[in-house]
Amino acid sequence: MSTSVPSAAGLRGLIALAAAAALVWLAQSTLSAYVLTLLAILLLNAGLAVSLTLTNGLTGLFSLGHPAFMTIGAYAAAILTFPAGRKGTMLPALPDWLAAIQLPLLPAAAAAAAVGGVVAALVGWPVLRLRGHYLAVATLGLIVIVQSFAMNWDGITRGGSGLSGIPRLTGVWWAFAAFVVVVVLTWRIKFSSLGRAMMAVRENDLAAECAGIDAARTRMIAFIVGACAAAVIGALMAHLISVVTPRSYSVALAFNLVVMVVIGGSGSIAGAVIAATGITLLSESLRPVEEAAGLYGLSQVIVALALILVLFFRPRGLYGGGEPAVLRRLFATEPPR
Amino acid sequence: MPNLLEVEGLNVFRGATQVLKDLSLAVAQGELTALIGANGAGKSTTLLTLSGLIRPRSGAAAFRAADGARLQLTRLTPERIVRAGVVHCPEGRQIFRSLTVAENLRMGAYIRDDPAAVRAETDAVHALFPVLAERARQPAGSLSGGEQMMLAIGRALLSRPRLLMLDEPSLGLAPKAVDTIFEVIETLIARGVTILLIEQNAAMALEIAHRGYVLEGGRVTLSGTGADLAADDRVRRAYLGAAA
Amino acid sequence: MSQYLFQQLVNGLALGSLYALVAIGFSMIYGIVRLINFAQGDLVMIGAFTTLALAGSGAPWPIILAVVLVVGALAGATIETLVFRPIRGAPQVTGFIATLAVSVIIQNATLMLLSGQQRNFLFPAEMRRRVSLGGVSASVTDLVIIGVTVLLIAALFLVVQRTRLGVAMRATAENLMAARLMGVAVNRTILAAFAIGSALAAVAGLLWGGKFGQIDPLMGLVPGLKAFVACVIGGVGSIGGAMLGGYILGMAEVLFVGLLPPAYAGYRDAFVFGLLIVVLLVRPSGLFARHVDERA
Repeated sequence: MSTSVPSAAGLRGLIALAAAAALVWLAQSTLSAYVLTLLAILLLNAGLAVSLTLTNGLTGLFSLGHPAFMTIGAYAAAILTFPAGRKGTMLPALPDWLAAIQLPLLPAAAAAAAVGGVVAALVGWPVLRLRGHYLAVATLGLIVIVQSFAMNWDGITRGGSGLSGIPRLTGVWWAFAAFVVVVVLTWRIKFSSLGRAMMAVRENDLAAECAGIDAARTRMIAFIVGACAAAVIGALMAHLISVVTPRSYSVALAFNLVVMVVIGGSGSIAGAVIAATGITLLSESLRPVEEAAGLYGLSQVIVALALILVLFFRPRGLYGGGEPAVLRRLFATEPPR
Repeated sequence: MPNLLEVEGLNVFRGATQVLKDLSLAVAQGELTALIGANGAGKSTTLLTLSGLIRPRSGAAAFRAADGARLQLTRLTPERIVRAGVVHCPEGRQIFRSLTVAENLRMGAYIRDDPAAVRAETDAVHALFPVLAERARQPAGSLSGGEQMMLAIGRALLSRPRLLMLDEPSLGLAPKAVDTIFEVIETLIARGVTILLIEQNAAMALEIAHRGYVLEGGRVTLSGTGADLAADDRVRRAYLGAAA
Repeated sequence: MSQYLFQQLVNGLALGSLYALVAIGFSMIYGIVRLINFAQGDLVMIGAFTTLALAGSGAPWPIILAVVLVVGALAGATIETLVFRPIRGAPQVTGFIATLAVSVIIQNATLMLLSGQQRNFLFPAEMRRRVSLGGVSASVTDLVIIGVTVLLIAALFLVVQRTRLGVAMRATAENLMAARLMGVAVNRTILAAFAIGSALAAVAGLLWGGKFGQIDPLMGLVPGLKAFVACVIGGVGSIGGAMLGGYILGMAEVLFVGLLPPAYAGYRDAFVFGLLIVVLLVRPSGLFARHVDERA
């Protein structure tokens, strides 16, 4: 009886994946380059929001540090994919073996994830002892620290001017792949014992410890997974828009990510995707208005106001911690929380 | 003696749970009325509702103010209720530990605008509790449990209570301190202060109470004079430790 | 004392004064409603821009200072009433997110109304010169910053320790329920704490502009975050701790820049946040803690 359930959900998952892939193929052959880039950005943003669901929503780690890991991942991957000849002159402080190699995107993204993961482990060890808003501010400080290094270590980052002319290796397929990986990974974790452990730690880590869960290790895993995802997405983003500067991924992005998680319902994957889509489209559609009227920042104000209204009237967001019933019935392999 | 406070049909919910069910009681002026019952019976909730910190879903609590007006406590803000003379000394004393003893007493007089009378009454409180004068400049957190209770009562007295509501004054105190506190309570009654007392220490409460109510599961199940209740078999078995 | 050392001392005290003003405001708000007010830095920006607007009018500087105080107080009071009061009692993280949202709104509204360009900001010429004090010289601006801060802190101390409002604020900060039972109008008391804390931040903006010479709509982020670090160093929730934390941070940052080769000067912000993490690890309740929060 129970053996047929996982494979049924898995089969449905594969069908959904094939259908989505078909849509992406259709999009690529019919839509303009501008729309495709927008679609790619949207998928990457959604992936970010979903990975944040894992860290913030499920485990309750209110981390605002994702942009820091994006910055790290973007620079790491860009340094690896740059043509070897240019690297030596542009980034004089790079060790010779780094300056000599040039990698394709996949290993560069993997390296980005590795670097992000290592930094997360090092930083997480002191910082994850904090709770609630203290953790939030400490992770904001992380953004400042990373920006500071990116600005000043110009031997390998070119300082304030950043790295431009990054090979445009990312397209909508890469973004789609990243999105799928993040969603599937998060979904599987959420509906597994690790996910339940994370939620237990979120609710009360003392009680979780009493139930045999290693709270510190669970928090660290969540933090590292989130950081790796952010690093990879940062790397992909940099190779989509071809440039990264110290200020590319900053507090404004951290705020937008928080908004996506809150409006979608922290802990809800579908909610995160919907909110990410909404916000990305809103910013994009308001951009001509902002330029025409000279009102830069209008979309941000609207997003912030929307967030405040959600906090007033529907603080649990669209879906609270759950998923829309239809998705659960189709794809969940275990009874969800 | 006329009733200072008349509570009728109070229904109070905390979250989804109904804590008080159709609660009715009366407190006569100049008397000590005791509210006894097990943990969770709803005693503290009753006082919190009367002092305005919790709103009931339905019911009335009519309080006779100094000028004879009948005030509906269930519709007033806590600040207004304190000004009317209903003073709640909450469970656990809740003194301001980081403020000095003197500042705590000043907080008791926060609503008053008659500094001369406040000074005189503060002296009276010092006479009643000399330790408060000795430790006036020390942080209140450095006082012992019994001394904190005295501070809490002194603070409450400076609010010029017409009705003083005490929530578990003996909680966590050493026996000697408990005796002192109850002596003070008796002194207050002798001075004509009307008191509504919540106590888990039912024996001591009923000993000094004029009137008593037994609260079980949010309702009043028994009422009577202090002596009657103390002699009642059911009360003796449930709350006074008599053999079944 | 050598001129160099004296200069560093004055520098550190001036920078520390700025941090102290913002940190005290932070601490007052945190103390009374347990909220880390991320928008505190943006109140610094509001103060700076208000000063810029008034400086051209030729009004005497004490008047400008008073107006900035009032504008800051009004801004803080408005934010509290519109955004924070409705969600009082919500989970900790909700409140913080709301302060983030307010910060974003303030920053972007300012961006919309005035452009993102940096603006030059000049104190009057008399303040931009240096003055000799027995063998060493100091900039008048720095001395004014220190002096104004000391005066404001002294005034605040009087209010908090000696007035009815002050003792009500301290009581409410410690135990809101008990304060209500004493008849304290807690809404008004909390509003007052926000107003005062915001006014101090606004004045910090006035002084900040004078010291650094440039202001822009996004300038509030770093002072706000550094003020938080100062609070953590000194002990969150304690006004005295915030003040001392501010001065310690100011001196530490100046020493960092002064003692290390100039190539590393740009890392000063990383240093400050590295310091935050160290303090949180080693002594999370700060040097002069009032409330021991669940932090570790």
